[in-house]
Amino acid sequence: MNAAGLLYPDILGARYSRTSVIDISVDNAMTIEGCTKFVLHRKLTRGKSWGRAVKAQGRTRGRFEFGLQMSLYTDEYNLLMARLGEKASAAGGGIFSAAFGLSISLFEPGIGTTLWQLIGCSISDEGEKVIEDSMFGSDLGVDADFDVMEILKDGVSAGLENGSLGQLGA
Amino acid sequence: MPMNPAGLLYPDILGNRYSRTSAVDISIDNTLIIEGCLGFSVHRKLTRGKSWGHRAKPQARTRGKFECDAKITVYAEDYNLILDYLTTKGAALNQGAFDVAFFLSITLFEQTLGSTNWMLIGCSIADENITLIEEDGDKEIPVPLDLDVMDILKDGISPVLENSPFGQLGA
Repeated sequence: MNAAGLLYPDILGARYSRTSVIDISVDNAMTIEGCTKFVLHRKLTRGKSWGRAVKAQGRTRGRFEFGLQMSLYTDEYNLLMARLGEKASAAGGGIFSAAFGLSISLFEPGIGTTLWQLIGCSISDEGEKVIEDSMFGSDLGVDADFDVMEILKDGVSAGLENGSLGQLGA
Repeated sequence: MPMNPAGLLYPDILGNRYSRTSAVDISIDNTLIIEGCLGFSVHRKLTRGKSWGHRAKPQARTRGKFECDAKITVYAEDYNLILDYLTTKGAALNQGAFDVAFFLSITLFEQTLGSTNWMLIGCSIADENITLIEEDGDKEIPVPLDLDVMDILKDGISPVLENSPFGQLGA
Protein backbone atom coordinates (compact mmCIF):
# COMPACT_ATOMS: atom_id res chain seq x y z
CA MET A 1 0.00 0.00 0.00
CA ASN A 2 1.45 3.40 -0.80
CA ALA A 3 1.51 6.19 1.74
CA ALA A 4 -1.88 7.53 0.73
CA GLY A 5 -3.65 4.19 1.10
CA LEU A 6 -3.97 2.93 -2.46
CA LEU A 7 -3.69 -0.86 -2.49
CA TYR A 8 -1.27 -2.80 -4.71
CA PRO A 9 -2.37 -5.46 -5.43
CA ASP A 10 -5.96 -4.34 -5.09
CA ILE A 11 -7.98 -7.50 -4.53
CA LEU A 12 -10.97 -5.75 -3.02
CA GLY A 13 -12.48 -3.41 -5.55
CA ALA A 14 -12.64 -2.26 -9.14
CA ARG A 15 -10.37 0.41 -10.55
CA TYR A 16 -11.46 3.35 -12.70
CA SER A 17 -12.36 2.44 -16.27
CA ARG A 18 -14.87 3.63 -18.85
CA THR A 19 -17.68 1.99 -16.88
CA SER A 20 -16.84 4.10 -13.82
CA VAL A 21 -18.31 7.15 -15.54
CA ILE A 22 -21.58 7.76 -13.74
CA ASP A 23 -22.53 11.14 -15.12
CA ILE A 24 -21.72 13.34 -18.09
CA SER A 25 -23.83 16.44 -18.16
CA VAL A 26 -24.11 19.69 -20.05
CA ASP A 27 -24.86 22.78 -17.97
CA ASN A 28 -25.96 20.43 -15.16
CA ALA A 29 -29.16 20.08 -17.14
CA MET A 30 -28.73 17.57 -19.94
CA THR A 31 -27.24 14.15 -19.29
CA ILE A 32 -25.22 12.53 -22.04
CA GLU A 33 -25.48 8.76 -22.11
CA GLY A 34 -24.36 7.85 -25.60
CA CYS A 35 -20.73 8.83 -25.32
CA THR A 36 -18.14 6.52 -26.86
CA LYS A 37 -15.03 8.63 -26.36
CA PHE A 38 -14.04 11.36 -23.92
CA VAL A 39 -10.50 12.70 -23.88
CA LEU A 40 -9.58 15.80 -21.95
CA HIS A 41 -6.32 17.64 -22.29
CA ARG A 42 -4.59 20.24 -20.12
CA LYS A 43 -1.30 21.70 -21.20
CA LEU A 44 1.04 24.22 -19.61
CA THR A 45 3.88 25.42 -21.82
CA ARG A 46 6.43 27.05 -19.57
CA GLY A 47 8.86 29.58 -20.94
CA LYS A 48 12.52 28.74 -20.39
CA SER A 49 15.50 31.01 -19.95
CA TRP A 50 19.03 29.88 -20.71
CA GLY A 51 20.77 33.25 -20.49
CA ARG A 52 24.43 32.57 -21.23
CA ALA A 53 24.40 29.09 -19.70
CA VAL A 54 24.08 25.69 -21.33
CA LYS A 55 21.47 24.56 -18.85
CA ALA A 56 18.11 26.22 -18.30
CA GLN A 57 18.46 28.79 -15.54
CA GLY A 58 14.87 29.87 -15.10
CA ARG A 59 11.28 29.33 -16.07
CA THR A 60 8.38 31.68 -16.70
CA ARG A 61 4.77 31.00 -15.80
CA GLY A 62 3.96 30.23 -19.43
CA ARG A 63 0.64 29.61 -21.11
CA PHE A 64 -2.18 27.25 -20.15
CA GLU A 65 -4.29 25.55 -22.82
CA PHE A 66 -7.15 23.11 -22.69
CA GLY A 67 -8.93 20.80 -25.08
CA LEU A 68 -11.56 18.11 -25.25
CA GLN A 69 -12.35 15.42 -27.78
CA MET A 70 -15.64 13.63 -27.54
CA SER A 71 -17.45 11.10 -29.69
CA LEU A 72 -21.20 10.74 -29.42
CA TYR A 73 -23.84 8.71 -31.14
CA THR A 74 -25.58 10.85 -33.74
CA ASP A 75 -28.89 10.72 -31.86
CA GLU A 76 -27.18 12.06 -28.76
CA TYR A 77 -25.34 14.70 -30.74
CA ASN A 78 -28.65 15.89 -32.17
CA LEU A 79 -29.92 16.47 -28.62
CA LEU A 80 -26.78 18.44 -27.80
CA MET A 81 -27.22 20.48 -30.96
CA ALA A 82 -30.82 21.22 -30.08
CA ARG A 83 -29.85 22.40 -26.62
CA LEU A 84 -27.02 24.57 -27.89
CA GLY A 85 -29.29 25.90 -30.63
CA GLU A 86 -31.75 27.17 -28.03
CA LYS A 87 -28.96 28.66 -26.00
CA ALA A 88 -27.38 30.26 -29.04
CA SER A 89 -30.57 31.81 -30.36
CA ALA A 90 -31.19 33.44 -26.96
CA ALA A 91 -27.70 34.93 -27.09
CA GLY A 92 -27.90 35.83 -30.77
CA GLY A 93 -25.10 33.54 -31.90
CA GLY A 94 -24.55 30.29 -33.73
CA ILE A 95 -24.44 26.82 -32.24
CA PHE A 96 -20.66 26.65 -32.42
CA SER A 97 -20.44 30.01 -30.66
CA ALA A 98 -22.56 28.93 -27.70
CA ALA A 99 -20.55 28.28 -24.55
CA PHE A 100 -21.56 25.62 -22.08
CA GLY A 101 -20.36 23.83 -18.98
CA LEU A 102 -19.59 20.15 -19.14
CA SER A 103 -18.91 17.81 -16.26
CA ILE A 104 -17.92 14.18 -16.00
CA SER A 105 -17.84 12.10 -12.82
CA LEU A 106 -16.14 8.81 -12.09
CA PHE A 107 -17.11 6.66 -9.15
CA GLU A 108 -16.00 3.36 -7.72
CA PRO A 109 -16.71 2.10 -4.21
CA GLY A 110 -13.47 2.08 -2.27
CA ILE A 111 -11.91 4.74 -4.48
CA GLY A 112 -14.58 7.40 -4.36
CA THR A 113 -15.45 10.11 -6.85
CA THR A 114 -13.39 12.11 -9.30
CA LEU A 115 -15.08 15.07 -10.91
CA TRP A 116 -13.91 16.99 -13.95
CA GLN A 117 -15.56 20.33 -14.75
CA LEU A 118 -14.97 21.81 -18.17
CA ILE A 119 -15.78 25.50 -18.18
CA GLY A 120 -16.62 27.57 -21.23
CA CYS A 121 -16.78 24.76 -23.76
CA SER A 122 -17.71 25.43 -27.36
CA ILE A 123 -17.59 23.15 -30.37
CA SER A 124 -14.63 23.89 -32.60
CA ASP A 125 -14.56 20.92 -34.93
CA GLU A 126 -17.21 18.42 -35.92
CA GLY A 127 -16.82 15.34 -38.08
CA GLU A 128 -19.56 12.87 -38.84
CA LYS A 129 -19.24 9.64 -40.76
CA VAL A 130 -22.57 9.16 -42.46
CA ILE A 131 -21.56 6.48 -44.90
CA GLU A 132 -18.51 4.29 -44.61
CA ASP A 133 -17.94 0.99 -46.29
CA SER A 134 -17.94 -1.87 -43.79
CA MET A 135 -19.92 -0.01 -41.12
CA PHE A 136 -22.28 -3.01 -40.89
CA GLY A 137 -25.08 -1.33 -39.06
CA SER A 138 -23.19 0.23 -36.19
CA ASP A 139 -24.61 3.38 -34.63
CA LEU A 140 -23.68 6.51 -36.53
CA GLY A 141 -21.37 8.69 -34.53
CA VAL A 142 -19.99 12.20 -34.42
CA ASP A 143 -16.43 13.11 -33.44
CA ALA A 144 -16.17 16.62 -32.04
CA ASP A 145 -13.32 18.76 -30.76
CA PHE A 146 -14.10 21.40 -28.18
CA ASP A 147 -12.49 24.69 -27.32
CA VAL A 148 -12.33 24.89 -23.52
CA MET A 149 -11.47 27.84 -21.28
CA GLU A 150 -10.67 25.96 -18.10
CA ILE A 151 -10.73 22.43 -16.70
CA LEU A 152 -11.10 21.87 -12.96
CA LYS A 153 -10.42 18.53 -11.34
CA ASP A 154 -12.44 18.12 -8.15
CA GLY A 155 -13.07 21.87 -8.22
CA VAL A 156 -9.39 22.79 -8.39
CA SER A 157 -7.55 24.36 -11.29
CA ALA A 158 -4.06 23.14 -12.14
CA GLY A 159 -2.84 26.70 -12.66
CA LEU A 160 -3.19 29.70 -10.38
CA GLU A 161 -2.94 33.28 -11.54
CA ASN A 162 -0.57 35.67 -9.87
CA GLY A 163 -3.40 37.93 -8.72
CA SER A 164 -7.03 37.51 -7.89
CA LEU A 165 -8.15 38.45 -11.40
CA GLY A 166 -8.37 35.95 -14.23
CA GLN A 167 -8.76 32.89 -12.02
CA LEU A 168 -11.50 30.27 -12.30
CA GLY A 169 -11.69 27.65 -9.56
CA ALA A 170 -9.54 27.36 -6.47
CA MET B 1 32.31 -17.17 -20.74
CA PRO B 2 32.82 -13.85 -22.55
CA MET B 3 32.85 -10.87 -20.26
CA ASN B 4 33.36 -7.23 -21.10
CA PRO B 5 36.10 -5.36 -19.20
CA ALA B 6 33.65 -4.04 -16.63
CA GLY B 7 32.42 -7.48 -15.70
CA LEU B 8 29.12 -7.63 -17.53
CA LEU B 9 28.43 -11.20 -18.58
CA TYR B 10 27.42 -12.29 -22.09
CA PRO B 11 25.59 -14.62 -22.05
CA ASP B 12 24.32 -13.73 -18.63
CA ILE B 13 23.02 -16.98 -17.19
CA LEU B 14 23.15 -15.87 -13.58
CA GLY B 15 20.83 -12.96 -13.09
CA ASN B 16 18.17 -10.74 -14.49
CA ARG B 17 18.82 -7.74 -16.67
CA TYR B 18 17.06 -4.41 -16.15
CA SER B 19 13.44 -4.34 -17.20
CA ARG B 20 10.25 -2.60 -16.07
CA THR B 21 10.11 -4.87 -13.03
CA SER B 22 13.52 -3.66 -11.88
CA ALA B 23 12.07 -0.30 -10.84
CA VAL B 24 12.16 -0.60 -7.07
CA ASP B 25 11.22 2.95 -6.20
CA ILE B 26 9.55 5.84 -7.97
CA SER B 27 8.96 8.74 -5.65
CA ILE B 28 8.06 12.39 -5.64
CA ASP B 29 9.97 14.68 -3.28
CA ASN B 30 11.17 11.51 -1.50
CA THR B 31 7.68 11.49 0.04
CA LEU B 32 5.04 10.10 -2.25
CA ILE B 33 5.76 6.65 -3.65
CA ILE B 34 4.15 5.93 -7.00
CA GLU B 35 3.18 2.30 -7.34
CA GLY B 36 0.75 2.48 -10.22
CA CYS B 37 3.20 3.56 -12.89
CA LEU B 38 2.94 1.90 -16.29
CA GLY B 39 5.27 4.06 -18.32
CA PHE B 40 8.34 6.16 -17.53
CA SER B 41 10.80 7.63 -19.97
CA VAL B 42 13.44 10.28 -19.56
CA HIS B 43 14.85 12.42 -22.33
CA ARG B 44 18.07 14.45 -22.30
CA LYS B 45 19.10 16.45 -25.30
CA LEU B 46 22.11 18.63 -26.00
CA THR B 47 21.86 20.75 -29.13
CA ARG B 48 25.32 22.01 -29.95
CA GLY B 49 25.74 25.14 -32.01
CA LYS B 50 27.79 24.69 -35.18
CA SER B 51 29.94 27.12 -37.11
CA TRP B 52 30.51 26.65 -40.81
CA GLY B 53 32.09 29.97 -41.67
CA HIS B 54 32.79 29.86 -45.39
CA ARG B 55 33.46 26.11 -45.34
CA ALA B 56 31.24 23.27 -46.48
CA LYS B 57 32.00 21.24 -43.36
CA PRO B 58 31.42 22.41 -39.80
CA GLN B 59 34.55 23.99 -38.40
CA ALA B 60 33.64 24.43 -34.76
CA ARG B 61 31.02 23.84 -32.13
CA THR B 62 29.61 25.90 -29.29
CA ARG B 63 28.48 24.54 -25.95
CA GLY B 64 24.87 24.80 -27.09
CA LYS B 65 21.67 24.27 -25.17
CA PHE B 66 20.76 21.37 -22.90
CA GLU B 67 17.12 20.34 -22.55
CA CYS B 68 15.42 17.67 -20.46
CA ASP B 69 11.97 16.24 -20.29
CA ALA B 70 10.22 13.13 -19.11
CA LYS B 71 7.06 11.21 -19.78
CA ILE B 72 5.26 9.24 -17.14
CA THR B 73 2.02 7.29 -17.33
CA VAL B 74 0.18 6.41 -14.14
CA TYR B 75 -3.19 4.95 -13.31
CA ALA B 76 -5.95 7.49 -12.63
CA GLU B 77 -6.09 6.58 -8.94
CA ASP B 78 -2.36 7.26 -8.52
CA TYR B 79 -2.75 10.44 -10.53
CA ASN B 80 -5.35 11.63 -8.03
CA LEU B 81 -2.79 11.16 -5.27
CA ILE B 82 -0.12 13.02 -7.23
CA LEU B 83 -2.42 15.91 -8.02
CA ASP B 84 -3.64 16.13 -4.43
CA TYR B 85 -0.02 16.25 -3.27
CA LEU B 86 0.96 18.93 -5.80
CA THR B 87 -2.16 20.98 -5.12
CA THR B 88 -1.37 21.01 -1.40
CA LYS B 89 2.27 21.86 -2.08
CA GLY B 90 1.33 24.61 -4.52
CA ALA B 91 -1.28 26.17 -2.24
CA ALA B 92 1.43 27.30 0.14
CA LEU B 93 3.15 29.08 -2.75
CA ASN B 94 0.00 30.35 -4.47
CA GLN B 95 0.77 28.00 -7.33
CA GLY B 96 -1.40 25.49 -9.11
CA ALA B 97 -0.60 21.81 -9.44
CA PHE B 98 0.92 22.40 -12.88
CA ASP B 99 2.95 25.40 -11.69
CA VAL B 100 4.55 23.81 -8.69
CA ALA B 101 7.96 22.20 -9.11
CA PHE B 102 8.77 18.81 -7.65
CA PHE B 103 11.59 16.31 -7.49
CA LEU B 104 11.14 12.88 -9.04
CA SER B 105 13.41 9.90 -8.70
CA ILE B 106 13.38 6.39 -10.08
CA THR B 107 15.69 3.58 -9.02
CA LEU B 108 16.38 0.34 -10.83
CA PHE B 109 17.84 -2.62 -8.99
CA GLU B 110 18.87 -6.14 -9.85
CA GLN B 111 20.92 -8.42 -7.62
CA THR B 112 23.86 -8.91 -9.94
CA LEU B 113 23.76 -5.46 -11.55
CA GLY B 114 23.21 -3.18 -8.58
CA SER B 115 21.32 0.11 -8.65
CA THR B 116 20.83 2.79 -11.24
CA ASN B 117 19.23 5.99 -10.09
CA TRP B 118 17.73 8.84 -12.08
CA MET B 119 16.97 12.13 -10.36
CA LEU B 120 14.72 14.55 -12.18
CA ILE B 121 15.15 18.01 -10.76
CA GLY B 122 12.61 20.81 -11.02
CA CYS B 123 9.82 18.82 -12.65
CA SER B 124 6.45 20.35 -13.41
CA ILE B 125 3.54 18.88 -15.32
CA ALA B 126 3.41 20.31 -18.82
CA ASP B 127 0.83 18.15 -20.53
CA GLU B 128 -1.96 15.90 -19.31
CA ASN B 129 -4.05 13.87 -21.73
CA ILE B 130 -6.69 11.62 -20.23
CA THR B 131 -8.93 9.24 -22.08
CA LEU B 132 -11.83 8.67 -19.72
CA ILE B 133 -14.02 6.80 -22.16
CA GLU B 134 -12.87 4.59 -24.96
CA GLU B 135 -15.40 2.30 -26.52
CA ASP B 136 -14.64 -1.40 -25.97
CA GLY B 137 -11.77 -0.56 -23.64
CA ASP B 138 -12.07 -2.14 -20.21
CA LYS B 139 -8.57 -1.46 -19.02
CA GLU B 140 -7.87 0.72 -16.03
CA ILE B 141 -7.75 4.40 -16.98
CA PRO B 142 -4.17 5.51 -17.63
CA VAL B 143 -3.04 9.13 -17.41
CA PRO B 144 -0.06 10.04 -19.62
CA LEU B 145 1.86 13.11 -18.48
CA ASP B 146 4.61 15.12 -20.09
CA LEU B 147 6.95 16.72 -17.59
CA ASP B 148 8.98 19.87 -17.98
CA VAL B 149 12.30 19.16 -16.25
CA MET B 150 15.23 21.44 -15.39
CA ASP B 151 17.95 18.78 -15.08
CA ILE B 152 18.24 15.01 -15.01
CA LEU B 153 21.06 13.37 -13.07
CA LYS B 154 21.98 9.74 -13.56
CA ASP B 155 23.55 8.31 -10.43
CA GLY B 156 24.00 11.88 -9.22
CA ILE B 157 25.84 13.10 -12.31
CA SER B 158 24.67 15.53 -14.94
CA PRO B 159 25.85 14.82 -18.50
CA VAL B 160 26.63 18.48 -19.09
CA LEU B 161 28.80 20.74 -17.00
CA GLU B 162 28.62 24.51 -16.98
CA ASN B 163 31.73 26.55 -17.66
CA SER B 164 31.64 27.98 -14.17
CA PRO B 165 30.24 26.88 -10.82
CA PHE B 166 27.17 29.00 -11.47
CA GLY B 167 24.11 27.42 -13.03
CA GLN B 168 25.26 23.87 -12.34
CA LEU B 169 23.10 21.21 -10.69
CA GLY B 170 24.73 17.93 -9.73
CA ALA B 171 28.32 16.84 -10.22
